[in-house]
Amino acid sequence: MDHNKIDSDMWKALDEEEKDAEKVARPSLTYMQDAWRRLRKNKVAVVSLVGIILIILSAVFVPFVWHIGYSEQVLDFSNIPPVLDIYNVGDDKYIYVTKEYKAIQVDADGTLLKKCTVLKEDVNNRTCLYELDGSQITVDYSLYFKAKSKYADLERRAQNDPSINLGEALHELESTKKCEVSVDGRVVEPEKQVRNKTYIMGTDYLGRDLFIRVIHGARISLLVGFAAALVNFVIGVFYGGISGYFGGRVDNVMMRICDTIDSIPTTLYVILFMVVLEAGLGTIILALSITYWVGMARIVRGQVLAMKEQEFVLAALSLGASLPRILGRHLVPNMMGPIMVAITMQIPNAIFTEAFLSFVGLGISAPMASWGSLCNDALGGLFTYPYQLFFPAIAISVTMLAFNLLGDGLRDALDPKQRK
Amino acid sequence: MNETLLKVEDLRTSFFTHLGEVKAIRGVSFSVRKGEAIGIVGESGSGKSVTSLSIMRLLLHPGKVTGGSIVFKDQEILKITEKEMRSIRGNEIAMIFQDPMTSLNPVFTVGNQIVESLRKHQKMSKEEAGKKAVDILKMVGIPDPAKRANNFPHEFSGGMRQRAMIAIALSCQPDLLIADEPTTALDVTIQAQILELMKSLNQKLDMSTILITHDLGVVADVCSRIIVMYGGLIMEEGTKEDIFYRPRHPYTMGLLKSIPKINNDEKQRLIPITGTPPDLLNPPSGCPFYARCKYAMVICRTKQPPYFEVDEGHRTMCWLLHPEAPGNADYEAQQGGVRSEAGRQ
Amino acid sequence: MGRYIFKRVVSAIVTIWFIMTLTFVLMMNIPGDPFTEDKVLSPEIKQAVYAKYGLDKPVFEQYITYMTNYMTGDFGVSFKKVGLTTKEIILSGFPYSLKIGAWASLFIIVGGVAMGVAAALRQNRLTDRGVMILSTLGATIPSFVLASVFLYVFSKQLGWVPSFGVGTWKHYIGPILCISAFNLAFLARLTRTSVLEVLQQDYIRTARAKGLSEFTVVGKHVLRNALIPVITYIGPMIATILTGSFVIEKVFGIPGIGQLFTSSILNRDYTLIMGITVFFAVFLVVLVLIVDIIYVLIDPRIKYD
Repeated sequence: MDHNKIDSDMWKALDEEEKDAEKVARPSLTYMQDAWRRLRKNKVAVVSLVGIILIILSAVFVPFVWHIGYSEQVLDFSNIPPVLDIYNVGDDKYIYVTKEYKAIQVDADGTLLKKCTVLKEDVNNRTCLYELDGSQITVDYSLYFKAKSKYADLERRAQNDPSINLGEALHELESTKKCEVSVDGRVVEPEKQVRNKTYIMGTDYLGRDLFIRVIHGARISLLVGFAAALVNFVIGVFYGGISGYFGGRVDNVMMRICDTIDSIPTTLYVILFMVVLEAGLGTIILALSITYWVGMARIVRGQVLAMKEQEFVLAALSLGASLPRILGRHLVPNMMGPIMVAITMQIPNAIFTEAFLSFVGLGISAPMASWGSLCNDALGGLFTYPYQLFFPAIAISVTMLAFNLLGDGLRDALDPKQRK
Repeated sequence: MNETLLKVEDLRTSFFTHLGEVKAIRGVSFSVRKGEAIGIVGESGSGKSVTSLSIMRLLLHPGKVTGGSIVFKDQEILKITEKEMRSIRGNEIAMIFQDPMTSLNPVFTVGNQIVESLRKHQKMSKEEAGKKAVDILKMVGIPDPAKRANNFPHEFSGGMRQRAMIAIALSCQPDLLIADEPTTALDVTIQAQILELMKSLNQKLDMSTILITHDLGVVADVCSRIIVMYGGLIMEEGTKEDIFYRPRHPYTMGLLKSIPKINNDEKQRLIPITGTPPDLLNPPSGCPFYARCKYAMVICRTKQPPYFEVDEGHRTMCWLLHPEAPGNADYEAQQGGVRSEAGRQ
Repeated sequence: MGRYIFKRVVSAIVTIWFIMTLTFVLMMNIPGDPFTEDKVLSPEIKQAVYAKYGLDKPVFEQYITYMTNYMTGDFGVSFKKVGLTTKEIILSGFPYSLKIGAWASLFIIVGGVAMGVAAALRQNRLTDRGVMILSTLGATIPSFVLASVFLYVFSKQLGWVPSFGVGTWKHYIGPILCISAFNLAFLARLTRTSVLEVLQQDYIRTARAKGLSEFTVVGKHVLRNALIPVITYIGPMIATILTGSFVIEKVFGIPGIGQLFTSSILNRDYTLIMGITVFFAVFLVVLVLIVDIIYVLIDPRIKYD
């Protein structure tokens, strides 16, 4: 077919519908629907959201179903890690030896049973004698002790004698067995490694279950986080709304106050505040609210200022709407975007500040457990019992990460022009 | 005598976005002679700015030139290295942009920004460059140039800023000046001044100019030849007179009809062209204008028309010029351009 | 210009006054007094002690004395560390915080800006993703977690650094790194955002159209504009870092100001608390003032009124 020849019906005029045929219609969505759709596509944000929901659910429900309370102390079981190297002492009986050379009886799959009866604690010879159902268990840590003093001596001499190789000596020290366990005279080695079934995250220095304390810490942190964010939201919206709405001198003065507050080193004042008022959960929330609302107020004020000029406000006014109605019904729904982002970012700040205060010793008091206080408690024995730090540290890091990532995702979803 | 300075042949440029390939320019060819001032007219999305950025090789990711050739002073500039291109930019080909407030770096003085160009391309000392900068500012009509050279862009008024931009562009005496919507952001009276300046510079310095705009009125004074672009392609090309008095493309006719005319006694409505530009993610296989064209035929939707020569130097891409195309009384009535009778829909 | 500086200085002085007053008010409300924990004192001795420290005078008089003393540089005498003036105590602890803070600031500024610029120039590629991940981690993981983990890994497991105190330069590595983490992360993100924004600007397109090398475009045109918001952040940041972080000093056992502050609070040592707070606040206000002035110098668009 000669492709240069043009069909005669090609010259017919084109109908209107055929011209529109190639236009692709996109369904129109409301702002919120569109933002939600964008958020859903952001995998990182979705994972964070799911994570946060899981954390909230565990914090709320786990304490009700867990068999140990957060302040229950079992001193015999203090400082037991979550993973145990256990020795077989015959008759299918096992023991675990703590870093303080205490012998605890455990069963084959890791449940703690009881502390073995102490027969003699010989500090001079660096041995401990225990009795368990007729068997005699000796824990001898003299070898390690000698090696340690030898090393300390070497360290002292090395300061004047550079030929001494400390690294090698340290290595030698590290490889010395910490203690020697013998059952009825026969030396035994650890048979296997099991998970601690009684305390899945181990115990602290008072024999309290670390797991439930971490969960309790989650309750505290989330409570403080949400409460502080809420208070800041309320104060901020009111302050910023009024400042932005009235504008002019009122706005000037109100913003000046904000500037002055900003120039105060906040951490300092939060600390001072905590000292002045009685320590406690309510105080912490209050302390967090004295300065952090400023950020929210600024955002709200900016939004109100921008929207004040827009026509729909004028329309509402001309219909006789009052100030609270305009604020509540027209302005706030439109500002929800940046406000939601701000709230989501405030929560991790509050959680961090509370943890920080507890870490320094100014936050919640014992026996309550906050992630910060747990880290603080763990600091003393960090090198010996690292797991005591590990679990609350992971908990708080993951939580803060989740909130931050969610906040970032929200920001991208609610205002794509603001892409970082 | 008037040799060809720039020859663009079958230029194709696309933007490779995450939604797909947006074909911004789909086969554009034209040339510019030495000392000639041409205008490229089109609406947003027609590809006119992308054309200029392609010539300057200033396309940012994800844009890329996908085909064609651009020959400037006998050199194929699509094939030279970036370093060689940089010695052409600002030196042999200069470009000015739409909004002079945002196009000038706010933290450096205007004089500094001119001197920077001079020192880069012409290896002048600071003092020489400084003096030359003041001369150029004078040439573009900025009063008190010595003092103004030490001012920052925000201390200039809109028209003065655009003059400053032109001064920067001209500092190294380029052979070609590309002006992308230079007057769109300015008041009408200032517009006239800037256009006047551009015209006089074009004549005085024998500098070729490409003036890009969406406003036909703007090119009427400065340019001798006009190119009309739509949907990434050239719809019509011809001299000023060809376009204004002898248009042959329905889009050109539509553009002419939507210009407000001062000297018409009758009360007239402005007749806009209804519809929206085509989606360049999936460009139509036929003429890009078919969906908005009053005279569209079945073939217009399916096959892209070839260029038909109306006259020497006047061509257009439209099936209506095909010998077999049926006659259309309305179309013929519009062929007088601005001289034809207005009003009939 | 002079008027602007004058206004800012006045504003700074007012802020300092406000901070001092606020601190005084808070101080007067701390439950208990410096001597509640000591052995029970007989009323006469207590009276004598109070008189010595001026605690028996009415509050307003105490306030005046306090303000005037501070004006003359007399920060009072420590309640707890008998025989030492507050000033001496502060000055004994400050050098450690200063050393750590100064190195940390340098590290943060150089590292943060470099990372931010690199990430912005290689947007969405490996460098960018890497920087963004690192900075997200650095900005969200709490400093005490970071410090503790660092201590465990590098001191216990690897034995590279000592764990406590301020003996050798090795003692400083941990504190400097940990104190930098958060701000480094934040600064990197801030720089990156700023650079990305500037790269979109029309005047960068103009600079390229002039045929300038990419090095000049970025190094001169981009940076000069992008660093403006960064500088506003750096000012207060330096103040916070130089005056020591409570957490870092606690974890690493640095006898700096941060640690002095927390212990003075736990001991109810009024004058020391006051002294350190005022010291810190003044530092902060002065640095903000310096930044404000620098800001005006580098951004010609600011009007000085």
